This record gives sequence, structure tokens and C-alpha cells, in this order.
Amino acid sequence: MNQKDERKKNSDFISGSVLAVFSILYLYFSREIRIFKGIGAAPLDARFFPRFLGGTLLLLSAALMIRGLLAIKRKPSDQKSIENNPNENMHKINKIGTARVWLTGVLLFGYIAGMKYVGFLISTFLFLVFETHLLSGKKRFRIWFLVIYVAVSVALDLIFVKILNVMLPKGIVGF
Amino acid sequence: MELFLQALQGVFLSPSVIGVVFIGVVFGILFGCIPGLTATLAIIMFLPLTYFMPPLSAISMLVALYIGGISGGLVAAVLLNIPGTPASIATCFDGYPMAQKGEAKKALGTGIIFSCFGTLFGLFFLVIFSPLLAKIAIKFGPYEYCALTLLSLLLSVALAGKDMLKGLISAVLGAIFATVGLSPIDSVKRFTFGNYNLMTGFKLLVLLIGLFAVTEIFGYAQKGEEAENENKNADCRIKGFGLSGREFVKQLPNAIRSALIGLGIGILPGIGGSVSSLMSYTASRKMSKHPEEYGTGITDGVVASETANNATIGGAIIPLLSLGIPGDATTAVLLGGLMIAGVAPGPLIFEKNAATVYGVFVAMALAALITLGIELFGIRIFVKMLSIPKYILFPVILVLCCIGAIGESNRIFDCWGILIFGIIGFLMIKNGFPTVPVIMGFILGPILEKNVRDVSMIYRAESLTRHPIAIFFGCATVLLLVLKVWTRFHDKNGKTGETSGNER
Repeated sequence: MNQKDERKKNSDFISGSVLAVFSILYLYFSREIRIFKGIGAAPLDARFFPRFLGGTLLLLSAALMIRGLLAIKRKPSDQKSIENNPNENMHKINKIGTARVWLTGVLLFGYIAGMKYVGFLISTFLFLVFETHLLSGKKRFRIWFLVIYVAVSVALDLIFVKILNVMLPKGIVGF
Repeated sequence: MELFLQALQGVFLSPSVIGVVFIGVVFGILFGCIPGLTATLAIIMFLPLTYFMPPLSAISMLVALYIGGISGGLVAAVLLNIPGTPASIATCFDGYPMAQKGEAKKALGTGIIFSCFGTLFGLFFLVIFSPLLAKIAIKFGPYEYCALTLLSLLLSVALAGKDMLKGLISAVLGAIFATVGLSPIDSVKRFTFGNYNLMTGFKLLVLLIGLFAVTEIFGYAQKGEEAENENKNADCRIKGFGLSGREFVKQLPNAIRSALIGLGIGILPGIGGSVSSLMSYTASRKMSKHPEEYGTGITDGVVASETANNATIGGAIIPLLSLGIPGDATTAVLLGGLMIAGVAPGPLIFEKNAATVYGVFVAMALAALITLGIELFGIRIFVKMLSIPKYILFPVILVLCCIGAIGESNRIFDCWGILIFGIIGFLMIKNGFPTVPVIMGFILGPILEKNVRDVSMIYRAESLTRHPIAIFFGCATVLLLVLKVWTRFHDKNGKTGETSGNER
């Protein structure tokens, strides 16, 4: 059995656990929902459906955890060590890919956070430049991309703000 | 007949009406093509332009945007595996695998032709049967909606493919996301944590962009060069429409069934094109002699989805015009457009504004044909989009997604929503959870809750036995569940499970 299958079986148990915790928290916060008890109140109040969903999710999560545990117990662990595994390069590539995912998330976070302060135009240009550089790698990023991205940012700003009247943030810069 | 002749004159002898229909179709396709920009957004953005237009021109432009937008959604669905609009979700399942096999033109050609077929089919029924269909739809009450939403949810879980448990979890998660905000009926705050942005809850568009567009981009970021190499295998050498006359005729039964499903779903208020395309896809797969081929890249899947979602247009406009009740979010915005144009929808519309209404019908037919022409002429341009490296395209798409998120409600909070749902969607896919049931749960959860609570109020006065349609849907749900469990029991003995195009 390879590392991928092992991870798959563990993921059921881990996913189930995370979902179970989430459903418990969801049920806990559903206590804060105020019920309307006046004339015309429905027999099933505003808490009913969230509690039904939370309870259902808890049950399903438990089922997933049990399934994960049974799958782990069923097959003996014969995982080869990573050092002897011919897919060592694949493992390295996966790590790089995962790092790119994280960085994309960080860039997107920065883009959204920065939009409010520096404005749509500048934040868009910076995001496009950094994200393209990240996704393309150093080999393929060209300087003339910068010119294109200035043009794209300005064009988007003109089309959506000036023509279609979408209220995109101007930021402290004012444009 | 006289009204039709008058309508034909009003449209074809008026260059301004033809002009606005053309512009509406072009921008509709553009908005529909690009993930994050939808037909709904296109209509919202063009509403101010219609303030100074005569009623026929104004409404014609808005419906042209609608038709172009729904039709345009298939382009991103086929080329990028990201639905351009919610109604094109199911097109991804077979359209993208077809593109990966080098049959991008065939997928696009099939989708375009059957989109036009679906639109014209829906329009035909809109014109002929709208009064009758509206009368049937108005009889649907809480019992019927409860039964129908349960059936739809179960179908979406069935569509999830291999893992029913994870499909169910996804559907429940979607319904949970929809509970954030104000509750139906009594508008009680739920899970807002004192944040005023959460009072209106999460928007469907935000969820879609996050779960599909952002997740796709995260997936590309992880694959890197490997994903880039996949694009280079696209074969653009198919001639003509990409679909022969024989293939077209062969797909007709599938198309007609899908159009009927789309029409039926469109009539029901609050359901919409996304559900119709998914239900039609499922029905097509269930009735096919080769269901295992669905999701691998076959034209049947594309036909089912695109015919249904375009037939939904005609269906959704039926309750809009006849009752003033929008069939989906897009027609809700159209309702605003009608009011601005001074055309009051309702039972008297055919008496007070018959000329305008029939003029709109003619404009819709014109828009469908213009969409067909523009998309077919532009098919080479659309396929050429594959040659644009994704590392250039995806950052721009992300920006457009953010604009789309901000554009709907004018708040940056929705951009945070797309990031959060993008992360959730990526983690779900990495752990084998399908994302389509999340969407279904999100859409149908509030409908189910509202109607269950309504049933709780009326069940003493009105028992279920007086609602045969609800009983029918309920029996269909139970039957489907039994069938699914029985099939799974047999599949456990080693047969390959069903595949879904949404799984990565």
C-alpha cells in the first residue's frame, strides 16, 4: 500500500474529526438564536433547522470517523520509507505545489486587505504581478508582463468604475 | 396572430431594438464566459442604461443579456472547468473532459447549438402554454416544495458519485452555510456574531466563485507545470460546428427531455437554472445505456446541461410575467427592469401590455439566434483562449471574481467570503468531498426550511393526503434512496463506482 492510500484512509478519520468539532461548535452557537414566541409563532422555530443540520452533521461525521478507523485497522501498515521510495521527487514536487497554494492564499489575502487602503488600481496591479510570477516561475515571467498588467488594471478600472459604475475602492490614494 | 405580426413589426422594423438585442447578447456572452461575472450581474449593471429607453427596447436588452449570459457560461465550463454562470455547473462534468481529450470545439459547438435549441424550446412553451403552466405552478404549496427540495437534494448527493456519505456531508454543509444571516419567516439573526455584514448571509455568487473559481486556481497552483502541459494537448482541428447532422438527430431525445426538465424547473419559483442543469444531467445519465461514460467527456452530458439551463429561461419568465413572481435570481432583477420600464407583471399583463410582451417574445427569439451566430463565429476565438497560459489567465480571473463579488453588494466583505470558501473548497476536494452538493444544499436548504416550517403551521388544517403532487415527489425520493442504497450494496462487490466530473 502506498503513501497516498495511507493518507486517504487517515484523511477520513481526520476530516470526520474536524467536522465533528465544527458541528459541536455549530450546535453550541445555535443556543444564541433567539426564539420568537409571540402570537403567530411557528411551531418549529428559528433554532429547529440549524439544530437538525448540526445533529445530522455530527452523526455523519461520526460515521466518517468510524469508517476511517475501520479502514486503518483493516490493512497492515507496510508503508515504505520515503528515502527508499522512487517517488521521492514527486514528494518534493508536492511540497512545492503546496507552498504555491499557500502563497496564492496569502497573496489573495493581501490583495483583498490592501484594496481598501491603496485602492483597486494599485492593489490589482501588484497582485497580478506577484501572482503571475508565483504561478509561472522565474523562467517564464517577462518584464513586458508589467506593461500588460498596468494596461489590464487601468482597463478594468475604466470599464467597471467609470462605465458600469461598480463602486470599487479608491483607497487613500484616491483613484 | 395579429399581436404576433405587430410584435414582428415592432422588432424587425426597429433598428434600435435589433441594436440593443445585439449589444445585450454580446455583453451577456462576455459576462457569462468569465467566471465571477454572471448574467445577473450583467443585468444589474445595464439596468441604469435602460432608464431612458422605450419599454420594448429596455426589456429586450435585459432578456438578451440573460440569454447571452446563460449561453456564455458554457465557454468557461468547457475550457477551464469553471462554470461561467451557476447554470453551467453540470456542463463542466463532461465539457471539460472533452476539452482535455482535444474535443474542445465539439464540446463548444454542441453546447452552443443545444443552448439555442433549449432557448427556443423554452420560448415556444412560454408563448403557447404560459397561462396554463402558471396555473399549475401557483398550486404548489409548502408540502410540494418540501418534497421537491428533498428529492433535489437527494439527486445532488446521487450525482456526487462514489462516496454517498461525503456527498451527504457536503449537502448538509451547504445548508449550514445558508443558515447564516436572518432566518426565513421570522427574520431572527443566526450566527452573525454581531457582524452586520453577516446579517444578509453569504451570497450564492460568493459561494460559487469560492468553491469553483478560487478552488480551481488553488488546484492549478499546486499542479504547476503539469497543469500547463494538459492545455497543450487541445486539438482544434474539428471542422464546422463540431457536431454532425446525424449526431444532432441522435441527441434530440436527450435534448427534448432536458428541455422539458429545464422548463419545469424554471417555472417553479426560487429554484433556477443551476438546479435544472444538474437534475437534467442526472436524468440523462440514469436513462442512458452507458451511464458509466458520463463524466469522462461525452456530448450527452453537455447536451443535457446546456439544453436544460437555457430552457429554464423560458420557464422562469412564465411566473415572472404572469404572476410577478421571479423564477430565479436573474428574473428577480428582470422584475426590477420591468417595473422601471413601466410594465407591471401580473395576471393583467397580457391585457394591458400585450404588444410589449409579444414584442419581448420576438426579441428573445432574435437574441437566441444572434447568440448562436456570435458564438459559432467566435468559436475559434474561444478555443484560442486555451493557448493563453493559465498563469496569465488565472490571476486576471481572480481579479474579476473579486470585482464580481464586490459588484453584487458593494462590499469588500464578499471578497473575504470567496477566499474562505475557496480554502474550504480546496480542502474538501483534497479530502474527497464533492462540492456540487454544497451548492445544492445552499440553494435548497433555505427553501426546505421555510416550507417545513410552513407545513408545521398548516398540517393540522391540511393533511398530506390532500397533496398528491407532494406524495408523488415523496415516493420518488424514497424510491431513489432505496435504489441508491441497493446499487451501492451491489457495487461493494468490486464494480467500479460512478464517476463525477467534479472530482479531482
